[in-house]
Amino acid sequence: MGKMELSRRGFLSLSAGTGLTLGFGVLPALGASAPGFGPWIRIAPDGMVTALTNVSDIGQGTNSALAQAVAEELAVPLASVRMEMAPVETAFHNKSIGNYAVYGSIGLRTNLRPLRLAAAGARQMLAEAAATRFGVPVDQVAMRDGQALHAASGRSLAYTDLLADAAKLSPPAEPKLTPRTEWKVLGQPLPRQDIPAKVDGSIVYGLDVRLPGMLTAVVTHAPTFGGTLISVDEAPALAVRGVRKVVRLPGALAVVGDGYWPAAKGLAALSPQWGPGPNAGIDSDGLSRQLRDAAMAGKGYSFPGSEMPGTNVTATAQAMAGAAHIVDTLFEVPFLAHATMEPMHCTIQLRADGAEIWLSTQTQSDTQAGVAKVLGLDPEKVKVNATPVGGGFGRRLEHDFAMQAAYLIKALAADGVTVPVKMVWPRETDMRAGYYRPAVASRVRLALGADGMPTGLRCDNANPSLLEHTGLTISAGRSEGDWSVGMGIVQQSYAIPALHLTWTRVDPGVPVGFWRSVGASQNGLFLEMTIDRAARHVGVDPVDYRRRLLTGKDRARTFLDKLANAAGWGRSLPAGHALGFAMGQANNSISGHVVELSVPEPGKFRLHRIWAAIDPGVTANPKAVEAQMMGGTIFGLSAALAGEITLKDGMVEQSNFDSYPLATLAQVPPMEVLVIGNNTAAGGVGEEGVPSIAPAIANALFALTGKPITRLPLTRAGWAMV
Amino acid sequence: MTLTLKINGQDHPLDIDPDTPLLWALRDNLGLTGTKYGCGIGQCGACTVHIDGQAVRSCAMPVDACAGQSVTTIEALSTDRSHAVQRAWIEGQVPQCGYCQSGMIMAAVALLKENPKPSDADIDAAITNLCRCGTYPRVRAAIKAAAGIAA
Ligand code: FES
Ligand code: FES
Repeated sequence: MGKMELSRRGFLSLSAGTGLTLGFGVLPALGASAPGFGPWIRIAPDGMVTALTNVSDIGQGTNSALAQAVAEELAVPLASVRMEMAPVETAFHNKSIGNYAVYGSIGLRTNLRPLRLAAAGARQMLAEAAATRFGVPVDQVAMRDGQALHAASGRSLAYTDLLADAAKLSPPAEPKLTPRTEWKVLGQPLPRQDIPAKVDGSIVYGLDVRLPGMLTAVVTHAPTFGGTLISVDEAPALAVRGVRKVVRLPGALAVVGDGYWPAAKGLAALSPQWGPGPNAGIDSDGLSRQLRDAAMAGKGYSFPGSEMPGTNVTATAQAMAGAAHIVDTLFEVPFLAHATMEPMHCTIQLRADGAEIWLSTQTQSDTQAGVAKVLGLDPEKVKVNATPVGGGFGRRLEHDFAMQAAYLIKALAADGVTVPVKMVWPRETDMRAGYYRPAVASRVRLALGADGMPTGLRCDNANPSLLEHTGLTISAGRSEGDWSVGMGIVQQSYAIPALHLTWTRVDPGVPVGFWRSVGASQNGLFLEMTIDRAARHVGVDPVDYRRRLLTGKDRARTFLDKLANAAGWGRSLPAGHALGFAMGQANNSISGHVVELSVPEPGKFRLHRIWAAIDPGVTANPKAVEAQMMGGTIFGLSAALAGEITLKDGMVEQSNFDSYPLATLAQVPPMEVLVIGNNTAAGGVGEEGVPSIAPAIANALFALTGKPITRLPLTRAGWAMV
Repeated sequence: MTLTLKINGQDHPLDIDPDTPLLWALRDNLGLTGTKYGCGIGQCGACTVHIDGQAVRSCAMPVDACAGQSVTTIEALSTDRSHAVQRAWIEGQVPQCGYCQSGMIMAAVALLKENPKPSDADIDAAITNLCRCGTYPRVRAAIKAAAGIAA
């Protein structure tokens, strides 16, 4: 806290020992004449406040919320605060992850407090400068709308007139934050700053970047993962008007042309011969058997308590041995693609002493390092221009596509090409390029005691490890086991006295990675379906059963009650209707869903209404939280209804939105979102809508039919939504 | 081959292959990048523009089929975001990432032109654009707001 926290995070420059006069030319990127308050916040002579951010705009509204925080703590109008992407340099890495990236719903959680402290510190320095000029004690100076006011004498000074004086002062050791009860801007449902440019086509995403003389490259990959190019006759592509080059890349082929269409047409004209590689024998049926067998065997890596809090192997074994009943379910979920609306791409240009790239990314520093490696450069020689992003969901935590662009430009440079090239993955390439949510089988056993309440939980997971495949530098380090299989199982508030998780590696060679909500995306179903099965076994209403499991856990219980009340849990329903409930905890937030559905005919269900609720702790902008919760819900709904990536002869069977359907507007029923904010630690909101929608639906179907849902998508469990 | 496209009220002679989808003529030849590529097969609606006032998926529309017709893109809906649908979109804070929204807005404008007071079922039938960020509930509400229908 205080001095330590500030200097460690580098939001304010505190020490004269760094050789800097505070606020003047703190970092080269700010320019020598920009008066300001450390590298993250600067105030221009016209009063405009610029705050830097390392959070990409992927539509989550984090930067608008951070702007609200700056406006609040600095006491300036929100309209005068502008957020700007910080340069991709070590000084601007997110200190809590040691990286320049945004994932795991960390954007607001890790940046809110440091930025508030920086802004509050700056405000106090300005207030002191004003007090000196007024010749009054600082506690008589009020700060409002970019002005320092002395009420008794009616004098006022604009911040801009105080900058030079304030910059000579020492920053406060412990900036005083505006208490929540006094927030006027922060916490309000204010319009997001990014919206206007998103309604007139003026926002420039990575795929929209245009540079003088630029060529476009369209890429296809070997049809099997690990496949290689044996031969290709380039002539048919080169015969297409506007095609310039055919380029062989590791496991891929690119056609370079004057624009997307000539390049795509050229690519379609080619008949490359691909070598199958080591994974050509894989199909989804065989993989499913392998996963299920491994989960049933349960002989994998046994997580110790240091990796999975709550683990007690002996107590779990005893609970199983002495159980009055064991709820025992073998679950299975498929690979899932992120299917961001904006496909992967990267524009790249070589320079005399380095390279420059333009792209939509969630992971700037890893991308920079990857591109530098391919080109044999030092990372700082690669300038990364991170644009607004057309959807991330974890796919843009990988930088495989940026490295591919580097291989491409290297090959083209060797061929005499000097212009910039925009490399684009057509939808079909994007859909088949992997880094999917892992396919998982899990045998879940919940032991119940004589009183019907849980005594132990054992989960035997089998899946490929995303930690082995991802290109994301994870500062947390890796264990022998894939910790992501515990997400959504461990650290729940339920009174389950003993836990034992195992993981068996089954790797078919398909790249897997982080997919919005990660392990919780499957464990939401596994745990919440299991809880409903237990409740049904003992003849207790599933919400009442959870209420008992949450005895003494006030935050979670309050959450449950509010969600259940909002949905009218327990009310009498039209004949043939049922409610389903599910909740979960992650990223310091609690979230959950209730759905109301009916089954008009066997195998078909109709969704009538969705209630979604989230308690993210601090709510920086309730409207943005609501939007994230809705978005997560619909993202989870797509997966629940029909989402799956399957393989045949090593090849992905899906290629576009006709074979990988997303939920549509017509399919989404009326939805209410309840935003509950009840403490001061900011939790995540980006992933929280995903995990509990599938189990809420599954639990409602279970309530109606008595048959548990053990597989997703629901089409695989014999259910279609009508 | 040279053909002339009428885009946003202006004639543009273009020397391109007649099978070039309108989408790529707009984006690559004319620099109108507000119209987006999402699927290229007419599935997602990110590329929606108006041809003679009708919503059309430009990725599936070869340029030679548009000759002589009037194409409007998101950039020309208004000069200052003042179109009723754009205002409703800002008011309702509809976009998330925003990538699908040009197409959504163009589809919504075409719907309201044809059907100024659409029912929920009309909206369901007309707005088949895909949004991975899940903005649908706000899209529906904003269409109603633009139509002056209480949500
Ligand atoms: S890009 Fe035209 S419909 Fe998807
Ligand atoms: S707002 Fe992101 S895809 Fe619709």
